[in-house]
Amino acid sequence: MRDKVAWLPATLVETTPDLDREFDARLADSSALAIRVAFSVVRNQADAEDVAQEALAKAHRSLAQLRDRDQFRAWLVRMTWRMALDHVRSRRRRMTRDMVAVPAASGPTVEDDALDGEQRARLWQAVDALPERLRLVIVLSALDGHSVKDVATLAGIAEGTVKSRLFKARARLKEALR
Amino acid sequence: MSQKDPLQDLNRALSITPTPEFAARVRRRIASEPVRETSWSWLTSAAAAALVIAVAAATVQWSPESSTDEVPESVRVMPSSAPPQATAPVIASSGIERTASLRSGDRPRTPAGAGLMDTPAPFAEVLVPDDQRLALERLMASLRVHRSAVPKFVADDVVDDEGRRVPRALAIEPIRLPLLDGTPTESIKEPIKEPIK
Repeated sequence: MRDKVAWLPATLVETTPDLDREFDARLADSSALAIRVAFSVVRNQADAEDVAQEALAKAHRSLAQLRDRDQFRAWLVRMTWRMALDHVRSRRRRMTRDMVAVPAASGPTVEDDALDGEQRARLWQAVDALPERLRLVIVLSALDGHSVKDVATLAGIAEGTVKSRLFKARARLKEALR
Repeated sequence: MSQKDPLQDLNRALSITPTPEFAARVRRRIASEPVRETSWSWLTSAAAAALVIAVAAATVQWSPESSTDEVPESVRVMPSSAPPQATAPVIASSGIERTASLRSGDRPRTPAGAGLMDTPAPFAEVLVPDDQRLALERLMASLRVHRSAVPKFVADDVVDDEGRRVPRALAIEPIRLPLLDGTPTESIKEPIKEPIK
C-alpha cells in the first residue's frame, strides 16, 4: 500500500492517521537537524526555527510522494539548506532596499560559552567565505558527529566527493582562522 | 578556538536545541493548511481531455477530403481528338484518357472515404469531351430557365457478335436552342444534323 501511495500526487492523497503518525515520529527525529542546518546559514535561532518550520510543513505536504522514506532526512536537509539560503538572500535584499545594516547573529546561547563573540564571528566569517558546496559538507560533518557516509547520504553525493570537499574545507578554515 | 580542527568549534557553534514549543508550532502550521481534496476530479478532467483528443484525432483521420488532386482511376476523361464512344451514361470505364481541357471546377468530388476504402462512387459520373461541353452547357442554361426539355435517351442492351450483352449506342436527338442574350456566336459549331450513334 505504501509503495502504491508513493507515486500518487499529493493532491490526491489526504492525510491519513498512519501518515500523521509517521510524520510525528520524523518530526521528533529530525527537528534538531533541520534547525541546526538552518542556523548554520541564518545565524539566528528564531529565524532558523522559522525556516525549519516551513521546511517541515513542506515535507509533510509531500511526504506521500516520497518514494524512499529512508531518504526523508536527506530530503529535509537539502530542502532546509535551500530555504535558509533563500531566506538570507531575501533578508539582505530587504535590508539593502531599506538601507538598514544587516544585523549580526543573535546573542550567545548557553552552548556558545566556549566561544566568545569574536571567535564566533571569525568562525562564521571563515565559513561564509567557503564556496557553497564546501560549506554544506563542513556543516553536516560538524553536526551530530556525522560520518562521511552519513554526510554523503544527507548531501546526496558520493563518499569520495565528501572526503575531497571536506579536506578542502578544513584546509581553508584553518588558513582563515590562523 | 581549536586550531587543530575547526570542526569541533563549528560543532559547538551549531549545538542549538529546538525550543520546547517548536514541535507544537509545526503541528499548528500544518493544521492551518487547507485540507487537500480527495476527489478524483483532476483524473476525471485528464481522462475527459484525453478522450476528446482521441475523438478529434479519429475524426480528422476519417474526415472526407474536400478536394483531391487525383482523379480516381475509375473516372477519367476522353481526349477531345478521339471519336466519341457510344456508351451509356454510367460510370466511365477504364480506357478513357484524361485531357487537359478538364477544368478543375469540373473535377468530380470523391465520396467520403473513397480514397481509403476504394469503393465505387454512389452516383453515376459522366464526363463529356470538350467539343460537346459547350452544347451541354447551353442545354443546362436553357433548362434553368425552362426553355427546353431533356431529350429522351434510348439505352437498352443489345447482344454483340460474341454473345455479350452490351448497352445500345445512345441516340441523342439534336437540340436546337435559341441563343441566350450575350452568347458569343463565333464559338458555335455546325449543328449536329444526324443523331450520334
